Amino acid sequence: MSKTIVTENLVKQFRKVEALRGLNLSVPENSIYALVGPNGAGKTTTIKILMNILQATSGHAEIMGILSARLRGHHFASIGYVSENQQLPEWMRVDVFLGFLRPFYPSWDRGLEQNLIKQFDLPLNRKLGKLSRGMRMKAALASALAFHPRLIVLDEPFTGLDPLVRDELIQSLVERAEESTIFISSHDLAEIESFASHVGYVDQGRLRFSEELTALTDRFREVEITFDSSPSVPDRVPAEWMHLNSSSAVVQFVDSNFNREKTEAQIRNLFGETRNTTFTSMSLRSIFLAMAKTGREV
Amino acid sequence: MNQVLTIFKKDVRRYWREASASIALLFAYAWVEVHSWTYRETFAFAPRGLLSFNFLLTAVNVLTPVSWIFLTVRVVHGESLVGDRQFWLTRPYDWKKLIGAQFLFLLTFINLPLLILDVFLLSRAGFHASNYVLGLLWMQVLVLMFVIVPAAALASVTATVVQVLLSAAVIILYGIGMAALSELIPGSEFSGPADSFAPILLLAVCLAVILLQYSRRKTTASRLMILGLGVALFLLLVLAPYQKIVAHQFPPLRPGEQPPFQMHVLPPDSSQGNVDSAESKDIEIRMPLEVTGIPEEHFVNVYTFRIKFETPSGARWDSGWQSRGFLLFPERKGTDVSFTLKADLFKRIQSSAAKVRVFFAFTLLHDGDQHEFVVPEGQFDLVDVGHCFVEGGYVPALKCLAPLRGPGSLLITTDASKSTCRHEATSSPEGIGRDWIHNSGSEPAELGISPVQSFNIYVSGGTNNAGICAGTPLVLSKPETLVSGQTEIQANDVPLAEYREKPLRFTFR
Repeated sequence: MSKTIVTENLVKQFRKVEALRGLNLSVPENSIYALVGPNGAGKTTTIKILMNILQATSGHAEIMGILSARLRGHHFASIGYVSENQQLPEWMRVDVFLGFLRPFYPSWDRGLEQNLIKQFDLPLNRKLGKLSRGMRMKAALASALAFHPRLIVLDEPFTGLDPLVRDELIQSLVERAEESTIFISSHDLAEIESFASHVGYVDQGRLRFSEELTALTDRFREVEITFDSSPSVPDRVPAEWMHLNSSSAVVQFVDSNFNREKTEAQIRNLFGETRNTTFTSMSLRSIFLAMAKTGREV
Repeated sequence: MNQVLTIFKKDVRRYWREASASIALLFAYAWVEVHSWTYRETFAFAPRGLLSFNFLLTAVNVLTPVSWIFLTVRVVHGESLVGDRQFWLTRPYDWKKLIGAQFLFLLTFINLPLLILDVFLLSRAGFHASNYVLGLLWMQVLVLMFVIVPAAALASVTATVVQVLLSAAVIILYGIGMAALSELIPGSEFSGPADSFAPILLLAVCLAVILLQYSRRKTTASRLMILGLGVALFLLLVLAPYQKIVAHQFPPLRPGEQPPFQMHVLPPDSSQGNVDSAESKDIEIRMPLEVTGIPEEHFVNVYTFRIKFETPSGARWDSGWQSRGFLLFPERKGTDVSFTLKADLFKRIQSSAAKVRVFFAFTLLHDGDQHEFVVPEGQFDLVDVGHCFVEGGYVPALKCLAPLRGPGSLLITTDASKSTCRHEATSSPEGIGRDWIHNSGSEPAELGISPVQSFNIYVSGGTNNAGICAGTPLVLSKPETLVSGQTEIQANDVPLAEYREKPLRFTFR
């Protein structure tokens, strides 16, 4: 599968602060890739480098086969970018804003524009500066979707939005998924989980992992083992077991590389006979909490 | 082109108020400028303060370019080049088209109205604008190069008007500092290669900053370039070889070569002499000089002079080249040079006689092609000058309006005794009065708002100057430079203390 976004050893230094420390990222074409991580992890810096808003200190970043540092105006005719802290021309009315942008995009679709206006219920005669945060985000998204971009880049688009608006935005994004690659940064994991196809976890400027969401959720399990009496917990357990915790006759851990047969065999080898073992699927949020607490790559 | 027009239309929609204000100021300028040609503030009836015409004149002259700068800043800030949150950074903007659109806007709302204003002013002053197309276009280029481009460069490295104002304050302080510094550097008023290099450097750096910001948005590098410009201009001022520049413009006489005039230091006159020096920090010394040898139909423009002295006690002093000069005419047999000494130096040397050397950087001009002209009633044409008329007043003078530039070199000579002005002077006017108007520039026009140069011809010299009125005979000529050079006079045993100028004293009763 060809890659829409590729970064290799991407480093960004702001004076003494190292925001990115050799980030390696690979976003497949036509995926909905969610870059997640805690605040200050380097998500926005990564996106700004990809959009050639910031220059990387070192490393390599490519978008649709073009070095991001060489992205020029005309390349943005096929990239739709929306950010939570983007400054829009607040003096413009929504209709003027859309009308102003229209001639910049050869592929601007007036029909799609009208659909998006209806879908988002955009007040055309209101100034952007007078819109609520949610409405402004919708207007920005409409302007970024109406030209059928090959790549849609969204930086924390859901921050501060009410659930209804989030659903509307997600719905419109999912509708675009067939024709576009969507790269979205967020720390709203519950929302991401509902529609992302791929997920990357960045923390302290490094990508801890990056894979398909289904594969990720398949390989993480919360494991609870019940014994008849207090078990002796071995000193050495498999590296993929996280947060091993034992209390009286129960041992719990998170298996980050779950395979039912393999995990059961490992349990038998380490603990012998057990009364009961349960394997519980984990939400993306739980997985990331486990990751964040461990602070390690898997 | 489509993108250029799209951005242009957007800017018109957004900045029409600022553009309208700028154009309204041009209307005000036109009204004030036209009235200034004939306006003469009388002592008794002129309104004062905010209502005065002179205040209005100053205000429109300052506010008009300020409005251009403001408009330029607003337009550039419309797509701010500083920061990383602007929506347009991730839109299909072509930076060359963005520059094109903003350039088109500034041409439309600054240069075009200015051009129309200039055509109107020329017509109103009685000149056919079609005869001055090159000059009019050159004025637009100058406004573009030295007002709009620097303002755009400043705007391109700032994000807000407040930042621009702070930067402007720093630039003004820098300018004041440089002006003060140039006062302290002897000879810095001489225009050398540095003077023509500085505007080119300014323009080049501004253009480089604009191109760098629009194409790459390297704000730190661009700001460093502007800082570098300030340092370079400072170094140009400080390190320019002024002695060589003076020697190049005014080469010293070769051995055996005679100067076109002779000068000697005269004894002090009765208005000079020793006074108590305790009360002032600066002591003014004025040395009268006798001047001889200037050929008829010639005169000397002493561009600047320099005084050096040393006393037997070893005190030495050098004035450096002074930023003032004077004219010497054949019938004028004397002049003086004055300079200021610090009181402590004066105290040390006042009891001793000094060896004084005075250097003169001069130009000898031939004043041959003279013709007589009798001032007519009303407005009249003065060949190669423009339209003139007699402007009344305590001492009537000629007021002239010239297209684009004042005359290159025009000497007006009057015999005060032949003045036709009715004057209530206690004694009859006599002697020769002159005014020499000259412009050294060779460009088609000068930087400014109005293409109409307004200037007065006020003859001075002689005694009880009666001025110029209708019927007054004038002698007009176009002096031409024959030679420029440097000469020196030397006087030994000069009692400097006796040349001290007595301070003016006012007594209130």
